[in-house]
Amino acid sequence: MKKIIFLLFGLIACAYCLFPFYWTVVTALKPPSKIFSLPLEYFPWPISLENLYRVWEKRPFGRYLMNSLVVSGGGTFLSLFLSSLLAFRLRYLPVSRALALQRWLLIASIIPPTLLVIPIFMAIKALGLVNHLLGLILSYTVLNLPFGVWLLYASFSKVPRELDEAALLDGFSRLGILFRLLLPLSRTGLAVAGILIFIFCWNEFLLALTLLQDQSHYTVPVGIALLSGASAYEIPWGEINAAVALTTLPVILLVALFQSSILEGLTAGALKG
Amino acid sequence: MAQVRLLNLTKTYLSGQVVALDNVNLEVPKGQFLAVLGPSGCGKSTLLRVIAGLERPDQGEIWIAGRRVDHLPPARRNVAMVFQNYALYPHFTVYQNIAIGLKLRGYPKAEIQKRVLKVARMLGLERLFDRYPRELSGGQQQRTALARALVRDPEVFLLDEPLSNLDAQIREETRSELKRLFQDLGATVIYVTHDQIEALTMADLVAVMFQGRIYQMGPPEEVYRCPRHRRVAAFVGVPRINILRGRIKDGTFFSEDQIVKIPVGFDYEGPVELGVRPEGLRPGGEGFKLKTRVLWVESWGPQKILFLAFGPYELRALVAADFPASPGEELEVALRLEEVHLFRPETGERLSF
Repeated sequence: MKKIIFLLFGLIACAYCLFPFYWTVVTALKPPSKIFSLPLEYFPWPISLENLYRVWEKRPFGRYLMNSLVVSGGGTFLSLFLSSLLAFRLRYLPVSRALALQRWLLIASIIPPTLLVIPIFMAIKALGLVNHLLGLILSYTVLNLPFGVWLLYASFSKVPRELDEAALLDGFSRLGILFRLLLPLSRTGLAVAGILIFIFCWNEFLLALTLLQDQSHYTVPVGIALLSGASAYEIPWGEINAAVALTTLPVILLVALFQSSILEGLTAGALKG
Repeated sequence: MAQVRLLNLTKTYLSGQVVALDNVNLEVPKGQFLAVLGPSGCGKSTLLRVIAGLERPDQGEIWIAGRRVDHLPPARRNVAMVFQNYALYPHFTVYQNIAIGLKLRGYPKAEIQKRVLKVARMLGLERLFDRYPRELSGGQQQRTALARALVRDPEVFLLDEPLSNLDAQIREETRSELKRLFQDLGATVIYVTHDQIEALTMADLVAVMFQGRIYQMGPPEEVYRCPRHRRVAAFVGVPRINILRGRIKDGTFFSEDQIVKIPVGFDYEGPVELGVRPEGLRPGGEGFKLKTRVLWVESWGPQKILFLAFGPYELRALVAADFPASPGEELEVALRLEEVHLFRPETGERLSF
């Protein structure tokens, strides 16, 4: 009985969360004329690919996608690289100090990015990187660093210290220990941090909107928000939904594929942190 | 010449509050097997880690093979260490685990292969080359860790309780294997253990450590037969040594309550502690006779331990398993005076002989 109730709640929660996405997909697959037609069609038939075609062919959507990939990939890579160096340094601090730092990292990682938009904009402007993808990559790195260090420190902690010591005696360099022992042994943590940071970068809107001015530099979220219709009074709902469906799908697949390791990585952090 | 020489080595933790090594001086001759024996927390592992370079001493000098090494990083001291939990690289195969040290030192591939194969044959690992550590038994993991140390042909081997994670039966086999192996190689070994059987059976030299200081160092028989400190006498030897507190007057030992009198014939006046090993109390033997009563009996394989009431004291005596004794029985045990150890009560240092 308990199980059934649990299952029921689970199903309701799932439906509640997934329905908007389902509706996005359905809308994307309807011809523009039928989007607002009543009664609502939950299973449109025949499927229309017109919206997808228009997003892809008539708008620089491919360009947006490319920009998003560059920014998210670059931001993720840079965050992971710097996080692993920092987490490695934390590993050699006395535990009490490392834990105190860990606490601050956690606090830093829950500061809403919105709060930091203006200072980041000033910093990027001072670097002369406004309207440049590199500026966005650096901003994303900064925002994700606390979380990355926090998670990687926790997953490094699962590797016994004797391994570092044996490696020192065997003649590994310090960086050799990090790149040839700790990182390969912390694959789960690395993958989790990577995926979560990637998703953050992929979805980020406000900074991208603030820092990028040229349409040719837009990332997908900015591009979608600024999709405009033929006149100022028309919002191209079909195309917007098609674009959203196209960009969300890879992320959902990514998470579905790695969800067990994500859970494992996050709970490891919870126990140690 | 000493292969390993430690001079005035001191190491403290928490800005001096915990003293792990207290002015340690030590010399290990080339080709000797030194066991460092002590209870947990006595600083014996710290000693090993300081020699290996994993910890920096506060003061003192470390010399290995005539070279002062205390400012060198671990890899350049030419020492190899076997860790208690083996510390094998989980994502490397057995072969890679053994070969990595040579590889990182830039040996040519053919040379690496030759040396790994030689060591693996010695330890019976050559069929396991492609396995990962998690696919090995405890004994195989231990041998892989050992192979990783052997293949480098270091000046000194440092072993940190390498047998303590093994099952009792394999432990005993491995104990004699290890001893023979290092003897054949003529290797210099520093072996840290809290297990006195390991220390006494394997080592050429035993150093007994308490609270960061070496209390006695010498061949195992000497440490056992002639402990230079009460703590050494109490720590080494199973069952434990019997100790009676009292004083010596006119060459006779009187216990604190004057009930026990033993003519030790030792020219000393003043308070002492008298120690006698359980096997030194022989029922029906030669020497000074003590009248006791059997309290209870513990059998112990080929021997048994008698717990004897002697006045208000309780003594342990070790006798053959077929010795007939039952609780309540009166028993006369003999004590040979040359087997009596006398210690100063205030410092614990040895007084006699």
